Parts: sequence; structure tokens; C-alpha cells
Amino acid sequence: MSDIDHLVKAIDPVPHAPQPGPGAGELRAAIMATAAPPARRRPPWRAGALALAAASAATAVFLSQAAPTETPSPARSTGVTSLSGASVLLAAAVKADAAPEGAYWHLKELHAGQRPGPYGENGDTTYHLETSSLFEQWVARDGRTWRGFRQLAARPLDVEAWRRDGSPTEWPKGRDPGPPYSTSPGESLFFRNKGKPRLYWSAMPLTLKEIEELPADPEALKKRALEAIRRDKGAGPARDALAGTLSSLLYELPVSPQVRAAAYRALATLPGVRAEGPATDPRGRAGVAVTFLTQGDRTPRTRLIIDPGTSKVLAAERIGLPDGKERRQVVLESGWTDTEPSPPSAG
Amino acid sequence: MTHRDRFEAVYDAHYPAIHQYAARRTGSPDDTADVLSETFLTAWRRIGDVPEGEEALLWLYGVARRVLANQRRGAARRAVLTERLRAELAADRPVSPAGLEHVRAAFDGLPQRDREVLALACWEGLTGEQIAKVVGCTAIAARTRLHRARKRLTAALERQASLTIAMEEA
Repeated sequence: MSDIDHLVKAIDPVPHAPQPGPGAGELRAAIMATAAPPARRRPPWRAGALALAAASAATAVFLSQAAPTETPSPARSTGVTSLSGASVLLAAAVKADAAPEGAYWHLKELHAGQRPGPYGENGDTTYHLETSSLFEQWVARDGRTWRGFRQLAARPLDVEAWRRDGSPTEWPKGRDPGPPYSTSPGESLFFRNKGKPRLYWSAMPLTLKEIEELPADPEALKKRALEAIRRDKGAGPARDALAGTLSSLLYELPVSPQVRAAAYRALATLPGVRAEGPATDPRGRAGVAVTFLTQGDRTPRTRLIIDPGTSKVLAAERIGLPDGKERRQVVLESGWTDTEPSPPSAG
Repeated sequence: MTHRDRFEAVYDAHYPAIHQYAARRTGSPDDTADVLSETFLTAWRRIGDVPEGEEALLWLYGVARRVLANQRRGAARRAVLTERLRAELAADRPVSPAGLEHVRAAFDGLPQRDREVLALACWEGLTGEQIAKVVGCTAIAARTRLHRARKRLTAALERQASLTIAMEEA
């Protein structure tokens, strides 16, 4: 180390690593209570293995027709009969969102799929819990943003085993710090973000204006998505995060109907996309499922459930994770509203 | 090893270093808390991409660096942030060592690029190669930047010294 290095070292404002206190544990628990989003895994697409041509059901029509080479602009396809799946869906999206009226963009998601446990190890049968949380975000037209978060009531998955365990209403988190899982919902957290308001598309911070200016051309949008992903040095090969990043335009950001339609068309061009047919989301709402191959193996890891009537995304799921768990993001609200931002209710 | 186990291991191993990194470069405990929460939230959301071993820390430095650079303050103030963490960080603020104000002044007068590599080398104790990984350049470029930064700081200190002498003589 040179003399000059010693001098710089001497002016180190924090020469000793601070001891983490209980706040550090709480932060860890709070972070882990949020859903790890879908489509972040790398290995190569199995192009061809799940070709679009092999797909069945209405979404297949929708997706294949949505390919940019053969898709008319959504506006032109308005009014086409139900036989033309893609056009009708895209037209529905345009109609549904054509007039984004309201003071606030509002996103309300239910994060579910976590199954902590086993509990009741003193009894003869153990059981797991089902836990979930609400996440909300509002964006005003002037760029102000609000966020809300609330842990919802946990529910034992095996009621008999739970009764034999003495019907507890709280369960310790084990190694995880923070309040125990409970049959009552947690406190709701709600606040307005101060400072420069930004929304994030992958790792790219965007203002509302920049979001409005995203290209409505699928290829141009794919390029921008790759740029957004590449800003994140840790995201791995950008092509593999494309499905998730493009999907987020369908429900997580206040993009124009044209950009939403372009995002659908861009998704349709990805080599690992497959229509699965009718499916219901965790709230029991009916839709059609589309999966994206985001790992090197044969099982798709990312699944979108779309309402074919409105083309709104009902749920984004990450399934078959290596730990055998699932993460489900259920989209409860995504659109413009005049209702003032307020703390998440437990309902 | 599950994602949860892996995240916990990464968090517990590197929380103090990232805390220290953030505290060195932010002006308030709230900002430190923001950098911490946003950095680890990113790690959680990208846990499959966090490299193994020592590389994990460099990856986290890289993320924290971007969080700082983007001044994500508003956006980062998420619901996950707990009051207790803020209070904890408020109680633990940096102090400036007495008698070295002139060094700090010369350091603060350097361009941001210079301050960044010097701090990574001297405070975080990183090698040129490791700095390259954090800031996203080649090892040669990092070493060159470091070399130039040292020279500029030396020159700044010498200028200060000659100024002091001149003032004393006047």
C-alpha cells in the first residue's frame, strides 16, 4: 500500500463494519416476504421443443396471429369476429384500455404460493401453512407514487393435522426473524415515496413520460427490453429474462394500449412460448394459460394466466422451482382509477 | 440449497460489508437504509444470478453502486423498510477523523471517478481486478484509473501544502 493509500484509508468515514442489529434481521424477513419474480432463470431456450405450432386452444390462435409478421395493427382489427382469436384479444385490449381515465395508475397484487412448514411435529401428522401478502402501488399523473404492503392471514393446509396440533393461531418463523405467521392479517404498511419518483422496468428507472414514450413496435420494444435487462449486470444473459420483462408491461406498468399490444406480440415471437389452454388463477378466475420456457430443462417455469375476454393478465406464476415451491403473483387490480391511494385492507 | 437458504447465507455474510459501503457514501441514515434495502431486494429478486463465494460480495457492491448512482431514493423507500433499521443506522453514523481535514478536502475535490476507485481500493480493500468487476470495466482500465487517481490526489495535496507555506510566508 502506497503512502497515498494510507492517507485515503485514514479518512475512511466508516473504518469498522457496523454490527448488524435486530433491524437487519427484520429487513431480511421483509425482503423474503416479497415474491421473487418470475423469469429470472438463465439457461438456453429449448427452441423448437415447444413450438407454437403444437399449441392448442384459443391462445394458440391469439399468439400465432399476434406474431409481428402477420398482425394488423390492433385498431384495424377492432370488430373482427370471435374466430380470429388474436385480433379479437388485441382489439379487446384496445377497447378496454383505450381511454385511460382516472387520477392514479393502480396496481394491486396478491403474492402467494409460499408454503412454510412443517408444523405440528409433536403430533402424528405435520402440516404446512399457506401464506400470502398484498402489494399495492399508485402513480399519480404528476409522478407521485405510493406503496402499500400487508401480510395476510395464514391458513393451515391440513385442518385435521392442525386440530391435532392444538389449533394454534400463531406459528414461529423458525430461523426467519420477524413476527410469527398468524391466522390474523398483519398491520398494513402504507406510505408515499418521497424524492425523485421512478418506476422500474427490469433494472431501468423510467419516468411516466418515458413509459408513455415506449415504442409500440414489437421488435423495437424487445430491443428496449434487452437494454433494460442489460442495465442489470447480474441479470445473466438478457435473452433469458425477456419473457418476464416483456410480461411486466402487460400489467405492472402504466403503458399505453398500443404498447401493451406490442408487448403481447413481442412475447409471441419468443422461442419458448406455449399455449396451455384453459386455466383458473389462484382466485378461481377463469382464463387461458401461456407458459415460457425460461430454463434449460423441459418444464416451463413461468406461466401467465390471461383473461381472453379483456386480455388482462390475471396471474403470473413461477412454478416448479428447484426447492419444489411456487410463487404466484395474482393481479387483483391493474389500471387507472380515481380512488385515492389508501392502506391495503385485509379483505 | 434452496433459494431461501442461499439468500439468507448471502445476506448474513455480506450485510455488514454492504452496510459499511453504503454508510461511507451516503449523507443520512435513511439513505443508507435505502441503499441496503434496495441492494438486498435486488439480490433476492435475482438470487439465481448471484455468483458464488467472494464474487457475491463484488456483485453486491456493483448493485449498491448502481443504486447510489441512480439516486433511487424515492423509489427505494419501500414498505419492506422497517423503522427499527433506520433507528439502528441513525445511532451508528460516520465520524471524520480529526487532523486529516485537508486530506478529506483534497479527496472531495477529486472527480467522482477518482474518488470511486480510491475508495474501493483503500476503504473496501479491493484489488484492481476486483474493482473492475464492481464498476464494470477491464482490470487494466481499473488499474490505470487507480494510478491516475493516486497521482491527482498527490498533486492536490502538494498544491495544498505549497499554498499553506505561501500563506505562512506572507
